[in-house]
Amino acid sequence: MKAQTFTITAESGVHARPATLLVNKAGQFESEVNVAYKDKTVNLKSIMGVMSLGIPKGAEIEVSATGSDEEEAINGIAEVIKEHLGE
Amino acid sequence: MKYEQLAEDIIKNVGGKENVNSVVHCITRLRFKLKDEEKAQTEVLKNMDGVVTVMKSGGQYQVVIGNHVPDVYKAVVTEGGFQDAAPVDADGGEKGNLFNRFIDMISGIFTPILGVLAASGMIKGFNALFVAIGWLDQEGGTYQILNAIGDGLFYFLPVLLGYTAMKKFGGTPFLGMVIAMALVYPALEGIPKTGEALYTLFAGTMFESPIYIEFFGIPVILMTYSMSVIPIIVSAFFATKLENFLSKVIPSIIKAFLVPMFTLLIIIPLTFIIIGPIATWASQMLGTATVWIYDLSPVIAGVFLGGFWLVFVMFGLHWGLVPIAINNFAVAGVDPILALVFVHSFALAGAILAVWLKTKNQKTKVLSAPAFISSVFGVTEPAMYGIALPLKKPFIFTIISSAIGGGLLGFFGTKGYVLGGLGIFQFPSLIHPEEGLNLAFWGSVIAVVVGTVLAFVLTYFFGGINKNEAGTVQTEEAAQQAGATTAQGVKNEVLVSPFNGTVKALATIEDAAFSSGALGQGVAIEPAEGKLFSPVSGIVTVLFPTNHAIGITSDEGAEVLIHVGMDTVQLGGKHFTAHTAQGNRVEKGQLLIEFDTDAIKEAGFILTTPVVVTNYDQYEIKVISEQKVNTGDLLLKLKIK
Repeated sequence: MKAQTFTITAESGVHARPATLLVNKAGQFESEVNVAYKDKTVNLKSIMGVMSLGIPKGAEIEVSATGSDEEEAINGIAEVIKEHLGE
Repeated sequence: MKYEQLAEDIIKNVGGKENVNSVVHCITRLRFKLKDEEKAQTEVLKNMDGVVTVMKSGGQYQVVIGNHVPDVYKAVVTEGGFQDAAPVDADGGEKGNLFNRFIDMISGIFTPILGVLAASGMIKGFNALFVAIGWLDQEGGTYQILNAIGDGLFYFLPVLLGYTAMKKFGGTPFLGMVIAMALVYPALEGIPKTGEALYTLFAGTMFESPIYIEFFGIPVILMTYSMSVIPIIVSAFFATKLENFLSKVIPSIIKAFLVPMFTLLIIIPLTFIIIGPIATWASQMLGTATVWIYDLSPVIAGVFLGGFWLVFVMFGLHWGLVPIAINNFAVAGVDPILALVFVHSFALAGAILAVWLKTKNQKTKVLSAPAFISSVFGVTEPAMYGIALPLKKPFIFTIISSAIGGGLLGFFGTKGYVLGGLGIFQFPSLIHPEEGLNLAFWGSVIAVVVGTVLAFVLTYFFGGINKNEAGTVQTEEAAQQAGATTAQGVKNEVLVSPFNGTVKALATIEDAAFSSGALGQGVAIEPAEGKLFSPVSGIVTVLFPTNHAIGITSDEGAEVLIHVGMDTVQLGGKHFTAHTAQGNRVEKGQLLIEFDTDAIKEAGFILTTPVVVTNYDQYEIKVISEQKVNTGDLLLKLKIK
């Protein structure tokens, strides 16, 4: 399993549009990809799951991937987050 | 297909296709129900290319594939010859073939009325008992009124079924009721029995049909629709199709009355013109065939009639035999035909008694008592539609036992001497007026005992009674464990509009994430009013902290996301008021969010709102409404793939 922590700096947090980008990215990989915020973990391939977290600006999230392409998955998602959401 | 090899390997390693009860898939996984999980090579599967991992949960053996799982699923279904449906269902994957689906549909239509059906059956049965033992006078007012109380539901059964069937098919329930009301309209019911025929169709053939009325010159053969089941269900099915079609083509200003008007004006005459003759001729054929078989061998006729009587009643075909019996009484004073079906209500009672004693399901147990008692008194509907049909096996054992009972009646030459009552009240009608309790009468007692005991024993030991129900419980557990983030066993459903407003194509939204359908598929609505009502009944799985977006997972499994306006997240919750919270249960039509349309527009935001289904890969999604909608209007139809 690979995991990485990110801080969300985007003004509106992870709302529908960036969530869609994340979900689409996660969907490109075979690995099971999860995102954890506070004490809740959801499947990053599910838009409803991601939005249900209601991740605001300043939040720390942890993305984890398990599977054959977990390395690529984490890197791919990190790119999306850096470009649209934070660091 | 590039997943054939993978599919073959997966099937091999879950223990072969013989070990698979059913398989469904969600967003990332194949969810198998295996007969024996021990037989699966979990380690081999985990290390297989193309399989992420294996998880066991809630009675399911889950093979995690990734989001191309739909393709792998198709390959697995093809390879293993499994049922390609969404078999996560009450009976644990037994569903699938046409017969089962038909039965599930019929019992689903009856489910909402079972309580009142059982009550009516009891009243009707006891009323007959009180007459039989002389407490009530059949001519008296007390009996007449009690009879109306007990029989009202049965006489007007199509009206109730019109409502429940139409609702099940996704149409407007009251339309189904009105169709049924016309079918059982008393003035029409009276016509075929009075007056002279205008002319006769097919004179001299089996289909000889005197015509009493015409509809714009088209001959109408009326049948008795009261107490019938299938005709109204067929009508409601086509009425739903027509209603959906009309809703699309009729402008919304005049829709409210024109859609029902045309639906009624088209469907009701079609029912009279098409279903009437088909059912009438089929029942005439049945009557002719029965007499022919009886002449050949009373035993075979008994097996045939006794076995299928309950089915004939369901289709209303038994009316073809009643005139033959009445004619036999009139001409010869004795009828051997109707006596052959004597055993069916006892066989059914035997099967229900077994269910009653054995079931651990509280709901089934409660319903079994009145179902059993009314069956003994000859009122079979509660037992049939409430228990035997939904559980399937008791129904099949009833047919077998009733067929054997019918064969015995044929063998002993049991005959009826008057048009008797039903159930145990039919006994007196079988007594020979001169010979008294002859062999034929005692034969009927033997047939009843054999039929009842056989149905009881078969159902008790082979009815699979608690097995079915364990399946239900398991499915529920699995669904709970799956939680909000994975779709589980979705069903067909219809979403209603959450707004008053104008429907647009999703593609017209100026935002790639929504217009491309990447977020989900559905429609965009321009709300005319700042009120959002729930399009489904279910759980609020998402309520974004700024209250501008809400996601609901419906009871049927659809994940619906409504995102009010574009970029409205930037308002930070201003102008939005939520009337529910994440995790709450909501009902269809409940007010969920209020927002200030003017203020939001003034702040420079577009209010066009995507209403999308995010687990769209499981459905074929059809937009029902294309223009102006009101809250509660049918909006999207979701059909499982």
